[in-house]
Amino acid sequence: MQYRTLGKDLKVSAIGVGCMPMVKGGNITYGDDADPDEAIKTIHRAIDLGITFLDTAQIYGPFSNEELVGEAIKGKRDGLVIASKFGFKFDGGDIVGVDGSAANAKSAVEGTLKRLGIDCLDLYYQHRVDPAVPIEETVGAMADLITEGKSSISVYPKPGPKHCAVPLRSRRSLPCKANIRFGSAKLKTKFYPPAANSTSALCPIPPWDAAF
Amino acid sequence: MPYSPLGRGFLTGSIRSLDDLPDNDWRRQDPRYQGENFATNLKLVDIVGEVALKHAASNAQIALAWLLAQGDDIVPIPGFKRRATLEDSAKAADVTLDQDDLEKLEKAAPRGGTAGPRYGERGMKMVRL
Repeated sequence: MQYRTLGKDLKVSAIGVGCMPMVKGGNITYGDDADPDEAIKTIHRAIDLGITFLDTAQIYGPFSNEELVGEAIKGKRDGLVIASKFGFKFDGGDIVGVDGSAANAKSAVEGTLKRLGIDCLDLYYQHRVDPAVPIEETVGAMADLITEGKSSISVYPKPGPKHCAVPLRSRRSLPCKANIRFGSAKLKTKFYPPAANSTSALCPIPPWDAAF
Repeated sequence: MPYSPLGRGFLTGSIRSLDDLPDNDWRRQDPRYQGENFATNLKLVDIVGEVALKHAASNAQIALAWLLAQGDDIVPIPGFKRRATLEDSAKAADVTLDQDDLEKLEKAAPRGGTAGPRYGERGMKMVRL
C-alpha cells in the first residue's frame, strides 16, 4: 500500500475505506443489503492490506455504522486513522435537520466514541453546514473537543455563500484564506480558522463534481 | 478526502440501467441516475472503460487512479461492503495513468460536465453550494 500525507503530518493510506454501505438495513443502501459479517471481514482485510483510514459518521445507519466499525477495530485501533462526523438533528432514528450547535458537537462526540469503542477520534467532521449557528460556535466547540482529547483534527464542509453571510462578526474577527486543492484546480475560498492551537481542514466535494 | 469517488458505483460500469438496482436503493432517487442524465453519464463510463481496457485494470481502479493523479494530498474513500471490491480498489494506487489517459478522461468528463446535480433538492439545500 502507498501512503500519503494530509495536511501537515497526517499519514494515511492512499485509499481509505468508506464504511457507510456496510450496515445492514441502514438509511442509505446501495445494491443488495450488507452482510455485517462480510463487512467486518472487509475492514479486517483492509487493515491486512495496509489500509489505515476508515471513514464513518453518526448519520450512517444512523448510529449502527459506528457500532459496526467499533466492533471491527476492536484490538486493532493502533495505527488506524478513524474519521467520524456529526451535525444532524435526530428524532429517534429520523434525521430532522442540521445542528451545528456547541451542545450538539459535545453530546454527539460522546455517543460516537462509545459506539466506536475508542477514546479519541483522529478526524471529526462537521457533516453539514448549519446556517442558523455562527461558525465560530461550532469551531469553538470542536476546538474544545481537541483540548479535551476527544478528537485530534476538526474538519469542516465548504461553506456556501449563504453561510458566509451569516456570522458577520466572525468574518471580521476571524477571516483567512484557505487554499483547497480540488481536482486539477485550486479553489480559493474564505474560511475561518479555529482556535490557534487546534488543527483544522476543509473537505472537498465528491470528485464526480470535478470530472465524472 | 473525496467521497463517492466511484460516483456511488456508477463509474464501475456495473450499472447499465436503473432496473439493475433494488427498489430501496438510494440511487433510485439520485438525479444522476435518472432518465436522460443516466444515459448521458453512461457515456463517461464507457470512456473510463476504454482506459481500463488499455491498462488491464478495472473501471474502479481507473477512476481512483485519476483522482490520485490530481495531487499527492488526495485520498479517496470509496465505500465497500465486500472484500472483493475492496481488494480491487486497493490496487488503484499501482495504476499509473499517462498523459494521454488523463487528457482523454478530462475531455470526456470536464468539470461540471456531469448530467444532474449531486443530490435531490433537499440534499442540495443542505450542502449550500
